[in-house]
Amino acid sequence: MSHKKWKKIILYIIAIFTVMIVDFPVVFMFITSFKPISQIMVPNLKFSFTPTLENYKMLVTENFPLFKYLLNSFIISLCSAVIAIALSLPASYGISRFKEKKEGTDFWILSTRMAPPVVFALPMFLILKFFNIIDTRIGLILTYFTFTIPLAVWILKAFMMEIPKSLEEAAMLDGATRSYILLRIITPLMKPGIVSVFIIDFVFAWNEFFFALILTLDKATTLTVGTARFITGYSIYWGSIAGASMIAAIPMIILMFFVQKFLVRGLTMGAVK
Amino acid sequence: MKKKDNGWRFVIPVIIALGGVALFPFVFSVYISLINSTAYSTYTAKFVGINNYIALFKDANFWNSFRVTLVYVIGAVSLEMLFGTLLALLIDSLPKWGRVFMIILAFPIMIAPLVYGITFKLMYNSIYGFIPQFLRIFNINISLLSTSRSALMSMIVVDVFQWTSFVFLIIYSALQSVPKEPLEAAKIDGAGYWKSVWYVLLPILRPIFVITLIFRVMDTFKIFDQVFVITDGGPGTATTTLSLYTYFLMFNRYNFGQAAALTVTILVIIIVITKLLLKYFYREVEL
Repeated sequence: MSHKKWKKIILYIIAIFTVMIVDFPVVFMFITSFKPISQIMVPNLKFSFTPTLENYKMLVTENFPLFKYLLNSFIISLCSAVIAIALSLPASYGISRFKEKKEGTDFWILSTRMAPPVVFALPMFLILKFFNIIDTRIGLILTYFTFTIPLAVWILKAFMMEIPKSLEEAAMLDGATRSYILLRIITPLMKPGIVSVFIIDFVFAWNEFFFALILTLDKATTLTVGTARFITGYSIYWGSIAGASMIAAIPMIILMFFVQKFLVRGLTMGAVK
Repeated sequence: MKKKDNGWRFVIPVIIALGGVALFPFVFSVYISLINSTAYSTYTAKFVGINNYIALFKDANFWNSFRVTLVYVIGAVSLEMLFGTLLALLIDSLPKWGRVFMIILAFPIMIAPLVYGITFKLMYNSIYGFIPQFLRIFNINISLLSTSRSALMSMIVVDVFQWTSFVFLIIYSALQSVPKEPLEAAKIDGAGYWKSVWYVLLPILRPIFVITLIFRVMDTFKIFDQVFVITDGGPGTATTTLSLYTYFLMFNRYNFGQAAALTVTILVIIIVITKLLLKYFYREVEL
């Protein structure tokens, strides 16, 4: 018996140790963001220092447009998630309820998620330039549809499959139309699915870097691109970078708590429960 | 008799939206790859047929970035699958705090890859970075980002650090829903823990493994953010992945025609890889 107990204790120690290694980079950046700048670029392994808020103060007071970047990131992520859901909810209903002839359609939607963003980068750059919407939020929102819509359709479809058809059949006998059923019966039941799709789309858009780098210059710059701007050819402002990184990361970690139950289903686009 | 409702009207908005932002851009890309387009002559360029593709396949830098990407994908994904699975087995054997461990271990996947890249750029710094200093304790003196081999390996380490959690999360939640009876039966028959995991548990999880594998291959194949911010493809072209090379062709060379040819090639490669993975590993369950 005590042999088994010892085994458990050792397993717990290994698990805690592993957690520390896995989360080390996150914790490291968190600590760095409270380090005085003078101590970040010093070659020693000591972790003792007087915590300071100077890095965060710098972000607010110096000529770094933190609030502009935050606002851009927020509006772009919000719109690309909400619009994607509005379009995808009927689509996932159509795909899950009317099977015939649509197998091709949903694989096509998946394949846009498979394609590396670089495939769309050049044509989107030229198209946005043509319509004169480079460096605008709307341009980036449209581009983000390339991943927010496929994610939304697939995850919502997985949730939709679990709603029993008998509910709809009963309503149809009462003379309800399909659209009425979708709006009044299906949508309320899909709340957990919609919330998790929203959070996952939001996080993906918030964390996106490549499109934002190419398709924005200044007006629509997001927080990720703004953070990377601290790395210049001449110097790297580690203190401010650490601060900005944490401002970008912490809200996403908090969002995860709301979606943890459906996180796996979301990340695998509904393929795994 | 009313005409049969086939539900297309529900799907059409998404088809139009994706047609506009994904299908049309791709077709446009194919078109650009067939003209001698540069940043200054997109709309006046001449049709050159497959010349851009020929130039691309003769370009040593393309083959180099293809090789770099393959090494990166194989290295990162195999390590992530291994560590993620071991981690899932470990946490699965600790049911009491499983949920708490799961949430804490999921932190990395919610964070922007760019932020991870920046963090490791700081930790890799040869003078004041944490990792070189830590290695110096064991008398290992290396400058991680200055040789080709160690730079590429360091990039793989960044990816493994962030995305092992992804594999863990999926395998762990699959383990939670797997019936435990076959495993118990194997144990009663006298099979050791590892033997029963190998012969009983892993075959059950096979479809999940394949899905996880495909997602990881798809995502590592497009690797850009971390490499862009840490090494920008260097030293030389040692860490120039396909995405980075496309970026370089677009915004340093302004050779849009060849960049477009490259993106079309990338899409073909990723479709072939996915199909092969599905064909060889995915038998039991349909996607």
